[in-house]
Formats: sequence, structure tokens, C-alpha cells
Amino acid sequence: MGRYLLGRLLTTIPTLLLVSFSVFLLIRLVPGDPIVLMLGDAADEETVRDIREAYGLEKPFFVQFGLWLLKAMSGDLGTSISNGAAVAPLILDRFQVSASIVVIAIVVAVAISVPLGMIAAWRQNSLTDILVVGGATLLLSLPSFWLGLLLLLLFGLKLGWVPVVGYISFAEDWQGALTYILLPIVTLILIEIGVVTRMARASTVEVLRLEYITHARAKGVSEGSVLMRHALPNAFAPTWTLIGLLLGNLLGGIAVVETVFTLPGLGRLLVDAIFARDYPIIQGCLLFTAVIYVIVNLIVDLCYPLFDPRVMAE
Amino acid sequence: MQSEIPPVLEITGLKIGLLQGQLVVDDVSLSVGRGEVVAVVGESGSGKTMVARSVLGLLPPGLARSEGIIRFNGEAIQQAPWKRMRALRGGEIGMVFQEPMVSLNPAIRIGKQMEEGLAIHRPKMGREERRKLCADMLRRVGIDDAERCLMAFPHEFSGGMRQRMMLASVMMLEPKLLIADEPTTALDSLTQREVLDLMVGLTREMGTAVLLITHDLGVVARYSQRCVVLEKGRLVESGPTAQVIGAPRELYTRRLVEAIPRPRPRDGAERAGEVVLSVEKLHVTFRRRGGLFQRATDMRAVKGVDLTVRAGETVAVVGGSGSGKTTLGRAILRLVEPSGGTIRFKGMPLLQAGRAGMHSFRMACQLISQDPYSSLDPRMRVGDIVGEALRLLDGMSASGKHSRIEEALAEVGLAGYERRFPHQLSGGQRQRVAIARALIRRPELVIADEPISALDMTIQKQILDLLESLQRSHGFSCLFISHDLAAVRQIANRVIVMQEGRIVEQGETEAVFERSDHPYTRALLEASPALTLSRKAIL
Repeated sequence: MGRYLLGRLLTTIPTLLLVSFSVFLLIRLVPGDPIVLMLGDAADEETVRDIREAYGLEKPFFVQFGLWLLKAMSGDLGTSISNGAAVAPLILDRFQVSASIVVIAIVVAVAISVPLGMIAAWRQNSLTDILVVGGATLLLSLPSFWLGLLLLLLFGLKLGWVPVVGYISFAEDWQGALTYILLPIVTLILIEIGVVTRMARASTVEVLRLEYITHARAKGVSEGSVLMRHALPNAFAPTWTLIGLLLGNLLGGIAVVETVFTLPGLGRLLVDAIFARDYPIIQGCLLFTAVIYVIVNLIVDLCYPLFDPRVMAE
Repeated sequence: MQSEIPPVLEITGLKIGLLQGQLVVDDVSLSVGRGEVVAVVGESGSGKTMVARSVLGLLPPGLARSEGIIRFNGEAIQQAPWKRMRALRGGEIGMVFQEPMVSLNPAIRIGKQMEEGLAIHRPKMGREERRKLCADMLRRVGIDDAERCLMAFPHEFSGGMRQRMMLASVMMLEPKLLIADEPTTALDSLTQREVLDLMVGLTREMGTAVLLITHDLGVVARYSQRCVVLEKGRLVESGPTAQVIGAPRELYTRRLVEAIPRPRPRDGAERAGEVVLSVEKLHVTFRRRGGLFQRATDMRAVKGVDLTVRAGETVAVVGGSGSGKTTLGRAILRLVEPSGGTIRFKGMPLLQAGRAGMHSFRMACQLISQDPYSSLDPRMRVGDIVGEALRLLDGMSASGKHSRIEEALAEVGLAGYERRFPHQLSGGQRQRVAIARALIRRPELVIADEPISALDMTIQKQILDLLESLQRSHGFSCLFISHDLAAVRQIANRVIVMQEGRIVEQGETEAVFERSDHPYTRALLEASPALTLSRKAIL
């Protein structure tokens, strides 16, 4: 177990190195000079050169990368070119916003979709099943920005139940904060219910066909216990992996949703930084996202034997 | 004589159909008396499993009983209310399923699964008492380390062990009737014998009647007093087992009995050609990764095996599961890398062979594998599957390739099947496709790894006959890996017996079968039910 954990952690190092290197390289290949963008066209060459030197941008590429990497390892991701703020605290700050939305949305979506998918599978080909599958497919096909805008239109403008623009942090006023993030959460829940329900249904259908389910019934086990005790752990395993992937993805960027609801999340930070060619923020965001992705999936993998003990054997 | 006491199970005029109306079981009647073992025999698709499942109302979705009465101890149960049915399931009527690998829930500890039945049917029993009963029962089916077993998960055990556990958990409730649906089909013959002996022993002690579903006439002959033969959902013949098998009245039954492989002396004169394959001191070691506190250990699957195969000869490798016979076959093909020894193919040392050498070896040596369901790519058409090997061949025109594919399919009796997909074929037809695929390059050596063990008895015989006739016309050598001694006796010139990775005995087929005095070989021979039957049938 310990060795497995260590091995898994070690294998993430090359991934992270590769990610940061490509990001570092690619962002510099994009046309546009951050200093010129910051100072405007009117700035004289001397000022531009001075500032460029101050940020270390005149050094050769590999030296820049090496210096950045060394600092990054001690948790220092540099300072923003456009506003001079330290990158690491900025990312953490913005991440809290995104994470609170994503985590709540996933938990609720799973709590709704897994039972829904299992019931659909249990009543396969019945009207219930058709309605569930149809609904899930519909939700799956909706673009998040469109759904978000419609929700805003209805609940924000027409009904006036929630504020349309803005954000307050939980620390300030948690009830107020909730009204601001409610719609983004609902949008994400609706979108993710589609994916997770279909997955839960598909894996339950597989499991219910297996002999041990018939065997459980032949023992006189009631239908409820068959579903809860015999089918659920086995059917949940593939869904669990999917949740890991979803969580990793969403934590890294719900830029679209954040833009629609004007939330100061990680995704918007990244998008804005790309427009400003703010290299340190872009690099920091992407490295941070990669680390989160790796950690989330590691945790998911470590929990997997809880649902499928066969995995430990290998 | 038993007019007073009704039989334990009595089925009259049972019809089971698809919801659209097509009948899967058509007018089947049978009865099982107290303490009796009654077998239901038939090939796949005969409806025997559906008869068994309908007793407990466990028909798969889409199938339903349309007519007929099912009586249990005189009580009609075919429309029993839900509550009564649940009390019957497990409590009065136990059921053991075919695949021990999938009939225990992989996510739940053995102990919990065993206790579940007790908790439902003996609600007054305390937890401690349940636990103790489970452990006792496990010991009774021959599992010594019962306490540890209760805490373990199913995947930690072999198929035979799992089937014992299954048996223990079902028999623990002392049912009046045990329905065993192909309980040992997935096991090798040694384990099969042990588990069936155990099952019949336990049911005799408890006075449980048994409805045994099987396709294996050897099993029927050995364990059942009466039997019922089904074909395509209809009852063909029924009566005392000795009578039905000894003197079958119906054509179908006769065909089933004839399909049991029999010793047939082979004309040994045609061979003694050059040595095609020689293997010396072959070792295969698997490294098992250790856990946190365990060291990595080595599992030696093949330990110093020597063998030779001559041109045109069939050499059988036999042994129980875990004897290393499959690993041996794969090591010869270098599908697993041997850890030591030499393999020569027509004098060329394979383990030192480079890309070109391996390429020409792979062209000349082909594999037919066990499972016809997973060995064919479901997205490819039959013609493409068979013709794939020709793609590597440069000097052949497209029309030449096409006619070669047609010819290869015609040889295995599948002319005109090029455009079909594997899922449209039966198990036997798929195995024919696998044979055509292996033979299209005219290989010099074919390694057949349990090529018939997943098939029905009559189909097994057809495939064996096909292999034999193709071998006669093409003259390839064959390494035939099998646990089925009856098949081996029909097809092999020489036999190699493996146990725990070593060769314990080898020699001419007849010599090994008739005069072997090695205890392991004897045990294998004893356990082969088909052979016992054929001897009985001759008498």
C-alpha cells in the first residue's frame, strides 16, 4: 500500500514536468508581448526594456524555465505582470470559489443520479427507464452557457429571486454567498446529472445481468436488498472513476459558467490572464490544475478497492 | 407405492415463452422424489436452465411461464405470492449456479454472503451462532481455514473452492430440494469430481432431493437415478438413467450418447517424421509483486519441461487447472517470455531469434484458443478475421487471397459465411472460424489450448473430428492442451501429463491410458466421467 502510493506519486512527477514545460513554451509562442500590452503603444523602448529585465523576460528560454521551476517547487509561482500580485495566493483565493461550486454540484448530482440510474436499470425498458434516459440525454446535450443564461433570465430577471451579477465570499456572509452561487451550482448539477445517470444506469444494467444477482434472489433476498447490498457496490465502481475524472476536469476550469455568472473563479482568472499575456498567472494556473487533477484521481484510485476489492489483489 | 406422499418437485406441462409468444420450453413434465437425484440433460438452447429457473420464479426478463403447474411437496407454487416465494427461495429450495467465478458477489466478504441466507430464513438465530454455523459448514465442505475464509473476498479463491463455498452456503439451510444448474461445467475434471461427490454426499446426508441440470452425460450416468432429455425445449426421453443412456430409444439421445468421445486406436504408422518442435528445460516464472510488508515472490509456473513434437503428430498436454499447461503453450509461442531453457522450431533456437526469425516462426505456428467468444474481434467480419493473416503476405493478389479465404472457410464447413459477424454465429461455428484463421497460412505447428472445453458435447465431437480430418489433409503437427482426457484419447498420438509445472509422465496415448501407474495420472483418469460411462455402456 505504502509502496503503491509512493509509486503513484513518483509517476506524476514526469507528467507535471511535461505539463509545465509545454505551457511555458506554448504561451511564449503566442504573439503579443506582455510588457507592451501592459504599458500601451506609447511607451518608449527604454522603459519596455527595463521592465522586461525586471521580470527576467530577457533571459534565454531555458534559464527562465529553470528559475521558474526552482521557485515553483518552493511554492512561489512569481508575481503577476499586469498587476504585481503574488500568483500563488491569487490562485488559491480564486480556487476556493470554483471548488465550492464544483464540489457541491458534484455531490448533489451524484446523490440524485446514482439512485435514478439504478432505478432505471432495475426497471429496464419500462416507461420510467425511457423517461430517465431521455431526460439524461437531453441534459447532456445542453450547452452550459445557454442553460446558465436561461436560468439567469428566469430566476434573476423575471422572478428576481437571486442577484444576477456578483459574488460575496462565504466568510463575509454565507447566506448571501449562497444566493450568488446557487444558479451556477444548479447549472452544473443539471449538466452533470446527464453524464452520471447514464453511467450509473449502464453499469447497473451490466451488474444486474450477472449470476450473483440471480443467486442473491435465489437465497430469498428482497429486491431492495438486492439493489442496495448486491448491485450498488459493484455498479458504483465505474461511476466512481467517472466522478474522479469529472471532478478533476471541473476543478480546473468552469470558465464558461464563471463567465456567464461573473464569478471570480479560477477559470476566469486563467482566461483573463491569457488575454493579458500574463505569463506567471497562466503558468501557475495550469500547473495548479494539473496537480489538482493528479491528486483527485489518486484519491479516487485509492478509494476504488472499497467498491471492488479485486483491485487490491493486482 | 408413493401414492400418499407427493414428490418433492412435480412439474406438469410446463411451457415457457418469450413475451412475443415463441416457446423456449414446450410441454415439459418431470418429478423429483424424496432423496432422489434427477438429471435434466440437453445442449445449450434446450431450455434446461429455464426449466430450473422457473421453479423459483427466476426467469430472466423477457421470458415468462405461459402454462403448466409446478408443485413443491404438493403445493402449487407457480403463482405463489411474493412473500411465500421468498420464503421458498433458499429456505426450502436451494440453488447452485454454473459459474462459481461470477455467482458469488465480488464486493462482499464470503462470511457476509453466507450469513445473508441465515439472516433471512432463520431470523431468530444470533450473530455468533450464525458465524459458527457458517464456519462449521465450510469445514464440512473441506475448507480447513474456515475462519479466515469467512473474512476473505471471493476472488481470493479458485473456481473449485468457490463452488464449495457456494454449496456450503446453500446446503447450510438444509433445503428440501437442491437445484444445481451445471454446477461443475466451468471446473476441470478433477475438481468437478470432488465437488459433485461432495454435493451428492451432502444431499444424501440431509435427505435433500436434487434436480441436476447438465449437458454432460458422464455426470448424468454417474450421479443420477433418473434423467430427462430435452431438445429445443421439448422433452425427448425420460426414465431411469441406466435405461436412457444404456439403451436410448430416441435418435437425439443416441446422438448425445455417441458424442461421448471413445477410445479409438490411431494408426500410428503414418508419423515419425522430422522433429518440428523441441523444448528443453523450459522454465517460466511469474513475478508476483509484494505488498507493503510482503516481499515480491516468484511463481514458477513451468519448471524444466522437455518435449518434442514431430511432423504430423499430435501431442496432448493434460493436467488439472494450475498445472502450467496453458502457460507452457503460451511460452512456446513466446506470448509469455520463458525465464530459462531452449525452444527450437525446426532447429532454429527461438529464444535467441531476432525479429525476422520470430516473424517466420509466427507465420508457421498458429494458436487456437479456448474461448470462441472472446478470441474473435466482434467488429470484424468472418472473412476479414480469417483473411487477416494473409495481409502480411506480399506476393498474393487480392483475388487469390479471396479465393483462399473462401477455401479456408469451406474446409471448416462455413462456406458463404464471409460477411457475417461473430455474434451471428454459435459457439461451435466461432471455433470453426478460429480454426480456419489458424490454418489459412498452412502452418506447420498448431497449438490448440483447450479448443473444445467451452462447447457442447455434440459440438465438441464435431470440432474434434474436424481437427483430425484437417490434420490428415494438411499434415500439420499439433500441440493439444486439454483437461479433457476423453478428447485427448481420441486425437493424440502421445500424451504428456503435467502437474504443478512439471511433466510427471509421458508416452504413447494408449500406453498412458491403459497402463499408467503414476498416481496423478490415475486420479485424472478416474475423474474423467465420460470414460467411466463408455466402459459402463460397453458392458
